[in-house]
Amino acid sequence: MNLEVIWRNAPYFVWGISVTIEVSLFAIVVGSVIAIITAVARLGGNAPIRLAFSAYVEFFRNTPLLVQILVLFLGPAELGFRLDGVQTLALCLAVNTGAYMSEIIRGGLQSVPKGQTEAAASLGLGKARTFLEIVLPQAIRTVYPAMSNQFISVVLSSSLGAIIGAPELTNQVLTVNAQTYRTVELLIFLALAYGVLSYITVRITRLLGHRLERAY
Amino acid sequence: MSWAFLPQYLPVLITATVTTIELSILAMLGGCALGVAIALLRLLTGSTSNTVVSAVVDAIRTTPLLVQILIWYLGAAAIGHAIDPFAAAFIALAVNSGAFISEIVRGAVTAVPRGQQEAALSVGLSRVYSIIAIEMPQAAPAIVPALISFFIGLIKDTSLAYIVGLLELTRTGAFISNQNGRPLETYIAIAIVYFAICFPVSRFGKYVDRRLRRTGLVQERLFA
Repeated sequence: MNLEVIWRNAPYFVWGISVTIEVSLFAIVVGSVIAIITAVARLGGNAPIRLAFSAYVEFFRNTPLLVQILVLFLGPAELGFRLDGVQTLALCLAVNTGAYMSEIIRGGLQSVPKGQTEAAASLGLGKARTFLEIVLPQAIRTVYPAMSNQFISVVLSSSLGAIIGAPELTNQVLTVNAQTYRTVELLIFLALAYGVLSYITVRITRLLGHRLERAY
Repeated sequence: MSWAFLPQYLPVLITATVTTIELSILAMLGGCALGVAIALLRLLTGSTSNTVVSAVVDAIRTTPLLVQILIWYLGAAAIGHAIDPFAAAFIALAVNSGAFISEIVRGAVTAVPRGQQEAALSVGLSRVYSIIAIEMPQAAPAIVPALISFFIGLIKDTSLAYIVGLLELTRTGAFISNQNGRPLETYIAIAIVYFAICFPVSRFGKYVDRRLRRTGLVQERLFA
């Protein structure tokens, strides 16, 4: 064991961790918005809209994230434009997790009793306000545990950036490994770092969860 | 876009599809065996071993699968016991699945009403027998659909064996697109193959779920 390799490359790893966090945050926020829109479209839209959004969800749920990343990273060059590794990773994670979370949120929306909508309507609230202020908060409260599992899986999935050279944590560690061959130390460090990142994610989502509870 | 290159690669694609399916099924079997064993261990033994086992399970669930594959592959080589990519991918996937499946099984068995276990013990059955023959069958309607959807995730996760150079579907896609310089069409074709494998399985999972509900097994368990 020689931990010097960790200290000497610390700035490089800090950069990697910050990219991992940025990409994950982007994917979680944008993915949640996509998920809510998709869930609403699949529950309330007309037939063609429902079909389009179902196709989106089924496609992204039934193909590997890695293949989606490779299509978006290498594919567009043929069409004359290019996204860099970080952009590709963030976009794919957001769209992919959006598809998964839309199923979760759809379940939540369906679990809100119809009486809530009727009561809101009888008080004279408009459709948009009823949804945003009455139905959606209750739905999210119900499915929040499932959503927070999804958040952790986003953080872990961001490691796929290593395959397209996006400078996130795994990529940085593998790069240093190729230069130093300190494989054992580096892999232990990498696993521990993700353990800590997951733990932090759990704590933060739990804090946000308490806030959701308090809103009653 | 041009798809003319595709037919000539058909044999390679078929071999790759077989590898992907093989790896998925083997890892699922390994994962189920490990998962049931871990769940039994945690249900049967006291808090000390529970702490150790749950620490290991949590460690596996909080590290990326990609990193776990690298740990088995590079780690084995680093300590002087190099294993081939298929073996590394299989071990990593099976161990990872074992951790997740143990939670599925344990959760479902714990949800079976306690009276069932008490009744089994009171007629003289052992604790092990009670879990395997009395509680698990009642938990099955909750376990089976969850296992099927987990299996879909596993099929997709075999794509991560790409990083150790195993020629499964995704890596084969890289091989083909390096030869013909058409990554867009190639990876779309690869995605379609995955879809063709996973979509029927997910439909089957939904069917099984509905079927188990209709036979009343799930309800019966919940309201017993």
